[in-house]
Amino acid sequence: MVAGARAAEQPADVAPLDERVLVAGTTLRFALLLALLVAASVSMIPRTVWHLFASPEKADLEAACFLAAGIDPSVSANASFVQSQRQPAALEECTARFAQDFTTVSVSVGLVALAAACTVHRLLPLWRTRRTKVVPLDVVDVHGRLRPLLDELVTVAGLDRTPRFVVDPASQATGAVAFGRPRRPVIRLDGGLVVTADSEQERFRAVVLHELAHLHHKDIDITYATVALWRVFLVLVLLPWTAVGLDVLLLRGSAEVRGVYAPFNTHAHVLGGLLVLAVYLSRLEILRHREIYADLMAVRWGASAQPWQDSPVRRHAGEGWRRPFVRIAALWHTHPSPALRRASLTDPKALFTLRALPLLLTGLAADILVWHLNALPSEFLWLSAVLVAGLVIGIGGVALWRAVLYALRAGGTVPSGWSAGLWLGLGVVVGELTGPRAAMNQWLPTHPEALLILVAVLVLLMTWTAQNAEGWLRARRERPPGPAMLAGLAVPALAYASVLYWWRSVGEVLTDGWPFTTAGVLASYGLPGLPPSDAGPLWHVVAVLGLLPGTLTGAGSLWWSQVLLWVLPVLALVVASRPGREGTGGGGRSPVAGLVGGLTGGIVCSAGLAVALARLRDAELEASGAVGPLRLAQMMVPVLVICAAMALTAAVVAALTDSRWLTTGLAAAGITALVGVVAAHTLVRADAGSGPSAVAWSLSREAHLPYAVALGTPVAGLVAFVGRGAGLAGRGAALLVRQVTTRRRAGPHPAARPSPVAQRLLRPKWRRAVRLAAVGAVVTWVGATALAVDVSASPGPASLPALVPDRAAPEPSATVSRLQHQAWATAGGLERIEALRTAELRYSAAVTAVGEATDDTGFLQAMDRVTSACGAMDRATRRADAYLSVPSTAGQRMWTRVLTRHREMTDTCRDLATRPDRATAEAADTARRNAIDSVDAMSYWLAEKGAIRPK
Amino acid sequence: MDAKAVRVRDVVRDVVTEVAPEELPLLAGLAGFDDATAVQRLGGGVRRREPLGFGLGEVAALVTPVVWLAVDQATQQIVGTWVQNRVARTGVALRRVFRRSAPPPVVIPALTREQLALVRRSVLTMAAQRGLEPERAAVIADAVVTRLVLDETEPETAAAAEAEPDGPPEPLAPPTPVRPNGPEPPDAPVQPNEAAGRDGGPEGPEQPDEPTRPAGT
Repeated sequence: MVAGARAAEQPADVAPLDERVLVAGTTLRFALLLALLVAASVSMIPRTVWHLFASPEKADLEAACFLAAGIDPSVSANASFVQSQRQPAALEECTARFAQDFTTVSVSVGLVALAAACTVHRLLPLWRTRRTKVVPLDVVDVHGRLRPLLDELVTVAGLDRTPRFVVDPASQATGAVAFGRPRRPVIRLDGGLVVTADSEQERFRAVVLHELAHLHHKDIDITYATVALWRVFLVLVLLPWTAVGLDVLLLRGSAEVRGVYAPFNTHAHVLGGLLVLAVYLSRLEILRHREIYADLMAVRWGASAQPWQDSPVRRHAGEGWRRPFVRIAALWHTHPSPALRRASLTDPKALFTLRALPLLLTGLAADILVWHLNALPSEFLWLSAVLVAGLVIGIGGVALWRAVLYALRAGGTVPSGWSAGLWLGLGVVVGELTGPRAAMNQWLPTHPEALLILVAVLVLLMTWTAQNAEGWLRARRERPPGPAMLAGLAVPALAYASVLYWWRSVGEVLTDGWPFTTAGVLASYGLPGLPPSDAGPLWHVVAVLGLLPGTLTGAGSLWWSQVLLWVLPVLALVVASRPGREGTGGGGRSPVAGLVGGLTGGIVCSAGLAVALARLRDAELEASGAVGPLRLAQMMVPVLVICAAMALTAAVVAALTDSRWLTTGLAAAGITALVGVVAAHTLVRADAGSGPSAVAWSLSREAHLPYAVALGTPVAGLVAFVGRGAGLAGRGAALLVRQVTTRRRAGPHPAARPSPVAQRLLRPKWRRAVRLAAVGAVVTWVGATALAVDVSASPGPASLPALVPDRAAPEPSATVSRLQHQAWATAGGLERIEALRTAELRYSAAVTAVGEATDDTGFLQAMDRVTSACGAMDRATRRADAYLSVPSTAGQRMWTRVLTRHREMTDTCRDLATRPDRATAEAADTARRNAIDSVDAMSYWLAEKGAIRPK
Repeated sequence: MDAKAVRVRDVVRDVVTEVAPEELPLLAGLAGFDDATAVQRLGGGVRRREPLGFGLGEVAALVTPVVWLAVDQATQQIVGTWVQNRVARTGVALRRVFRRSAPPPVVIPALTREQLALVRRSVLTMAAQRGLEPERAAVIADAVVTRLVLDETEPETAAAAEAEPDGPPEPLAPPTPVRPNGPEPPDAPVQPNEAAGRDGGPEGPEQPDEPTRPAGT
């Protein structure tokens, strides 16, 4: 299933490999499931509670705020974000006014669910040992022979706690099962097993030892914790969430509104279904693994293998056309097939082999976990990134280390690791495409190819893991591999966490295309003179570069973790090159190749930096008098050169190295980067002339080093794949030419043994085709993404261009437009209009009172009323002005007119109040009539648009 | 007829003691269950693959469930209709939910030759369904019939059952461990329970609703 890179040179060990040589990774996989269930609960409970308890009117009004702000739910998330940033204060005020908080209820429900899970966990064993189900062992042990035998087996197993044995007297089966809580384990013996205890004593011992092995491995602890949490999650969380979701999707509100939000709600439900599938299949898959572990332990404790040999074999198991069906059906079994269990007793290969399904499910589960972790505050983004990356890389990495170890010890084919990354990445892509994360309220994201960034990174890191594992396992063959594995997994896990951090912060918007403007990005640096008036190609490149991994240089972004991707291979190379080490496996030239390649790359990089900075000096970037362009160029151009040098070094070293080409290539690229950063620092400092040297170092520290590490390393790693492919292609072509030439000269040589390269070329065609397709997909992605980068987008206003362009949003459909106007009116528009009317009526009444005043006292009192009315008018106008603009040009024109007329009315009102004469009275009357006309026109227009009901 | 009634569990105990004494531990375990529970549990499907179970899915060919289920099934056919039985079982279930008191044990009335033949066929069918060899099935069926016939010749044992008509089910297992060197008769005399006629059982022979087909004969 997962292809190997090359065969290990060691002969096969005679004894089967001890399955306990490395951790099984089961705990991590259970931890992923538990984290997924907890995160999903934290995310789903508030949504359900909100839908059940929130006032529908207020909820509708809160949703209306977004529509009123001109956000079109049917457009991409980026466009919605841009729209929401146009009038953030008004939008926030609107939503805050209608917000409903049910945090306390949600927390209470969450606590109830947790308590229910604990209760179920405690009750499950009681339910399974109820009076009508089982009887104590002593009741059926009428001969008194079972108890001593079981005591002996418990002693053999060396358990801390003696389990309670019970018997199901009605069961004809000849098995047993372990369950209970960690401190009170129970083993239930089937009636058939008790009856045959004397006649088939070997079988009895094997079955009981198998169950004791489950207790020894602490399988019941986490299995039943997961079972309890899963059942409570299904009943208390998932079912209500699904019901509420279906209500929102199919019943609540008008069909029009439901249709508008249908994509998001459908995605959310599909993701819920995938969560169930992922948890269920993963749990069964883990359980199947645990059975083989228990079998092996039972045999180690002295159980005869005969019961496994005697087990019935199903006919037609996996033959012919039934094969796919049998394999699918096997996914739902709690136990592996008898044939696999038998085979595993002599060779536990199944516990070391890489399999696609667990990796796919891991990627999928991790992606769903990321979606549900959205509930965490953004300050904890780094924590969620580390958690998810630790689980993904931990699970995939442990599987890979085990596979590499098995291949080395058993003399098999060492897995290359990239296919493991591909399966993990495929799981992530499935989660992203089916869930709402990438597409939001669209059926598919506009640029799904951006997801290949994550796939490529996982392929890179898994290949790195496999090669690193091979290096350490060869070099430290006699030592326990556990500590080396821990370090070997922490590094790619942190590296993936840094990529995830960037992806969540910046990268994921790329699924909607490139949303940034060159001018906006350049302006965001805050340097004087930026953006330049004439943004040439250099500036476009600089702008794009500024948003790739490496932009986020805070310690929390974990950019520094990428440096470990060089350091560890260098350490491995050093250890491997020490005299007396065995089994360097063709990697003997690697240290030399890495060092020489890195230093050569560093020299080339330094030369390139010198040339580039000299050209920058000549380009007169400071002609305008602002230092910004030159400073930014000094920041970015060295980054470009260093990254290019790293990529070139990695590609060349990977092409020329046989063993561990990626880790060696990255080590060389790392040396190149270090030399390059030092050279950049020196050159920029020399360039700065009399300026303080701290500036130069600051540039190198804040820009050159993070970019060289965080951007240069993954780029170098990916380009190393290209170099490796080119190297293999070149060697294959050379071999073909040599074969043709030899055949012409001397004819075929049957005794000649094909070289490893030739053996590689002889692999099945389909496998090569799949690899070719994978490479093609990556190349296509690179091309598509490059084409999708729209650097020519129009810059924003010259004063402070927006980072994300204020592009003209597509015209909303008639339905959405009507909904937006209705929302504008109901969320506060009508209320503002009524307030203006009320203020105007009050003002009119005050003016009338002035006209009707018969004495000075009455006149003065009436004038006070006018002054007060002016203040009320002013407040109403300001409040209306602070409200959201009308979500259409025509509507906004009318609304602006209303506001202008009322401002004029306020002004004339104040004039009248301070200078009551004929001229001010006439002006005020005219302004008042204009204001009334504008409000009537606005109301008429809204009614015509369908936003309000005509009076 | 009252004097010749016998409890199903007594028949099962005697037959198992005779033909499969190694299964007496199971009977000891089942003694704590009332008849309805025992039949329900014995007739349930086999859990082949539970999480953390052994999972190789082998099933022992046991005599106890064959005898108990077959005799119970035949008795149900003889003493009542299917609908009556379902109602009775539902009553048992409800009683268990609300009162948890043990229902009275199922008793077999005195049987005619045809009814004995029905019991025999029922045993043979059940044995075939449960994977027993035909020869073994025949031995079991004969033992059951013999036990029922012999019971009719021992009317004096009926009086003891009258003393405790609604008491809890009597333990099936012998009070002392059975010696493994072969079957032996039960320590206590067989105690037929109260009259079957109290439950409305028919006086005369009755044709079964769905005659069972003897298997393996």
